[in-house]
Amino acid sequence: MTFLSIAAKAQSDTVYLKEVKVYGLPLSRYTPGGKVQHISGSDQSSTLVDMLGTQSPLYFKTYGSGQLATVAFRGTSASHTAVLWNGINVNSPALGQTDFSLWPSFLLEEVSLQYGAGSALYGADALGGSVLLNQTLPQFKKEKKVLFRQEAGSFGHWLSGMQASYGNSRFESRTKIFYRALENNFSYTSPKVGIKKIQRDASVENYGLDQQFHWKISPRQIFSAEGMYTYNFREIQQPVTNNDPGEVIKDRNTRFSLSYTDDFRKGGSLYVTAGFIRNDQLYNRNSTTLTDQLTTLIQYDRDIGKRSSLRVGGNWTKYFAISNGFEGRLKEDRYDLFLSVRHRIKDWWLSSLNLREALYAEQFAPFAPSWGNEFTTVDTQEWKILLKTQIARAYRVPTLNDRFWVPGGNLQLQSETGINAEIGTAIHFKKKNHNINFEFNHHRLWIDQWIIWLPNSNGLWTPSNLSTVHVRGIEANLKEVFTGDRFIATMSAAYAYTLSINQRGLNQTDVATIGKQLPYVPIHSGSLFAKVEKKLWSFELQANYTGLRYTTLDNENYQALKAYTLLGASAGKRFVFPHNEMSLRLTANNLFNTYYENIENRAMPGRNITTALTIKF
Amino acid sequence: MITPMKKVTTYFLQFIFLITFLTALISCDKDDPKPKGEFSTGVLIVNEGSFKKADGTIGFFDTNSLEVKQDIFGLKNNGKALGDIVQSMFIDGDLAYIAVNNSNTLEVVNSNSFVAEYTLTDVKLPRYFTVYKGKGYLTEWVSFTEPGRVSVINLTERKVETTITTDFGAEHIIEANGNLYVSNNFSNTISVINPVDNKVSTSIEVGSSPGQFVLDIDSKLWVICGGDFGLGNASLHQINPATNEVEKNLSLSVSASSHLVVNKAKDQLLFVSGKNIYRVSTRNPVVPQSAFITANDAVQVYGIGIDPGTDLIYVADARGFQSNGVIFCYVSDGAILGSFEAGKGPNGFVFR
Repeated sequence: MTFLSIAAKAQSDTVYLKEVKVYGLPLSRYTPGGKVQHISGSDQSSTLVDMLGTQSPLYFKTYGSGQLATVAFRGTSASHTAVLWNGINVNSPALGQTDFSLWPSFLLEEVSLQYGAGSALYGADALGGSVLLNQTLPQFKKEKKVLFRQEAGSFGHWLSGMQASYGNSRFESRTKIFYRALENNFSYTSPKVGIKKIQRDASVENYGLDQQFHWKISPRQIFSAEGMYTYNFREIQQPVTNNDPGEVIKDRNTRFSLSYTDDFRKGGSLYVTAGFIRNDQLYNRNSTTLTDQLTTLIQYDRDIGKRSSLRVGGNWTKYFAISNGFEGRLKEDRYDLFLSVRHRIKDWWLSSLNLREALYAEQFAPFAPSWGNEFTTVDTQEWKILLKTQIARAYRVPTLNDRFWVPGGNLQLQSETGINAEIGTAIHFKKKNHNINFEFNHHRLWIDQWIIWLPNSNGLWTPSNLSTVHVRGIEANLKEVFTGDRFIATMSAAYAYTLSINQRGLNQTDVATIGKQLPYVPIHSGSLFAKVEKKLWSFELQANYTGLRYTTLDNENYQALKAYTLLGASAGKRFVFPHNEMSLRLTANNLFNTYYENIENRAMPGRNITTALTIKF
Repeated sequence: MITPMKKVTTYFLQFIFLITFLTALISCDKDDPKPKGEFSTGVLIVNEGSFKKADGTIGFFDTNSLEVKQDIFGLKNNGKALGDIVQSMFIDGDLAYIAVNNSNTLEVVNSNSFVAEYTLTDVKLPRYFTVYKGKGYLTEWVSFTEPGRVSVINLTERKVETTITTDFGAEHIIEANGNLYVSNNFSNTISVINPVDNKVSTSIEVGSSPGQFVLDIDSKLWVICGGDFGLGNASLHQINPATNEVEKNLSLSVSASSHLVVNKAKDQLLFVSGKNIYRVSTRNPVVPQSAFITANDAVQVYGIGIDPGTDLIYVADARGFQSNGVIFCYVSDGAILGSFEAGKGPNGFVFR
């Protein structure tokens, strides 16, 4: 990789133009008009929470460092984000959401975000957006590579990891294995306690393994197999006021996928995948939630002439779930059929129409179409200006808990639906050694039939399709890469404005919650980033701002979480030897030692330092 | 919505004015003592907060000015939090004892100024507190797998003197006829403690899930039993504290919350089932056939209190913990008077 491509890949690349070919599942082919962002990895390991939290406007409701973390994507709730691993929705079928702290970055390859309603392409849950976790394309090059990573840092942060790959013209194998521990014994001074305390009983132990095999059966056929296992044990961090240890939680996640790709000669390709996902969670050593999922997906892509392409496919998922709240073992089948058509109407006008219909528990999910357009208004040597529009309908199927929890589960629940409309622009400017990207969009989302659990008139907690929420917001990003003779400088700024407004009261006489911002959705958030690379050195500076967040639906200021700014810096140096390469990186986070919270009264760590040593053979 | 509520608030205002006026008339011949502090007269609202959010608070409703102050502990103690699940508060003279269930603390504050005095930490899942003959008695669940207990607290030395094991889920505590009665919520028993030797002298069997006690006009002890989950078998029991015999049993054929309150005259009991509030006469107890009050505007009735001074009924609506709670106020005949905002998850009241 050249310096330039590393620089271009780093930090908040929102790629509007390029059709990035991710193995098996071309991501952005049918998303003109939408916003896709590729998240770059780093040479320091963390979880998806840190990767996405620093590089995107996604807000994570984190109960502490390494603790449970759910997402608010464009002002929606944790169950309004689809998380797809190799094209398979891996949200828990019981709870309908993902704990992002259970996804270690060391095992991941391609991480991308699709903003906005994406049910037509990704199925259920994709209202606020989708998180896509994929393999990188196999190279089938004759090479052997080994990477060792060792990290040590503040508050008992420790990581040992190894990645090894082997390839020849017909076969490729990739192995990743890691162990991570976090003591979380940081000190903090919460105003709610008034005195300095040392966080205790919040340790995390985590290890995992990922193995991929890829076979090139013929020049046009590839067969791949991947298995991933992660183990995560943690002591649940308690609120700042509590002194005694809390519960413990153990998560074991097993994921397998088999996939087959056949690129036919006449511009058609077939992609088939089968996956098995197991989430095994043991809460406080006595309460198990075990969900199994079998998914098969088949998809056929075809170019029609030079201006059009077509995709048609379907998938079938079978869920099995056992929990203390369910009577017996639950089973459920879901079927999806989808169709996408892309057409370049004019040289300057690209349009895509995507349709999906799903069936769950013998009833139809809401029909999910999306229509995106991309207009190239200026296209010169230096300037490229795009206008983009998208309108889409998305849905969320009620979870197994929503329907089958004993007591309270409600079989009469309908799916939630969301209508998303957005308009945006992407401006690219390139001259000599300047490369500037500017993006701006305005998005709106109307979610109806939003499911809320409330006590009924007998006092029994039960969910109903109570709420309506309107989200409107702005996202803006500016990025410049300057390539000098002796150095490369990257600077970027991002800002997001999100109003996520509740439209209906908790009952017919409640007005206190109408017109109010949803809890744990910052109205303002933004970041600044700067990076300088010179020869083998690189320096980074990053500031992230998170605005005030309410903790209750009636938006009382005295209960709101204060806005905060985190400043981080890192320095790295590479050492290049004839047969291997070594890099050393020193990262400091929260330089101002700011006390902040992402969930009410859960302390987050202050200033902390990590050193990472990477050796590549 | 706003208009009718304003109307009732106005009515409320007039009513309160009348009460205040009458009280002033009655007390005008006395030397009007200066109020001891900002919170020495009014209604204190216990807002337990969401589990593990440590957002439980005490609110204050000034019945003269109709002003509501939220989180008065935080207000008077530099923004400090009481903790995780503020279960109950008991006022004894100039001290208020606040049991913070999941923080495992008993927070002691000045009851007039709400300035913190001290914190007792060697308690486990505390629930309710009372003072008898200068000693503090605190019920504790301890855990969900062990029997509950009562900690006897030396209030001058500020430490636990001894603990008395009762039964599972030691919940409410009340003194009657020189004994302490403890309802064991995860069982069907009442433990009677003799405060002379700090031992359980006897155990009384009642219905499933006994909750709160009240003493009636005839000095009889009443306890509400919520019943088993989903069976709708709540019950009311009258105990004679002189004999420790259960003298009356009322099978209510509904499920009930653990709240039981008595009116000013101490001859009418109120208990809660869902959004319905039922009334039972202590001298002629019969199973009520219809609700006395249905809190239609509430989302979730989570607490109830009757002001022994005004006989006003305060109903706490926790709003499913989605937003802050709302307190609805009714006159003694059940007519709605008004409402005001509470903190998160209001579950009870202390009247001063």
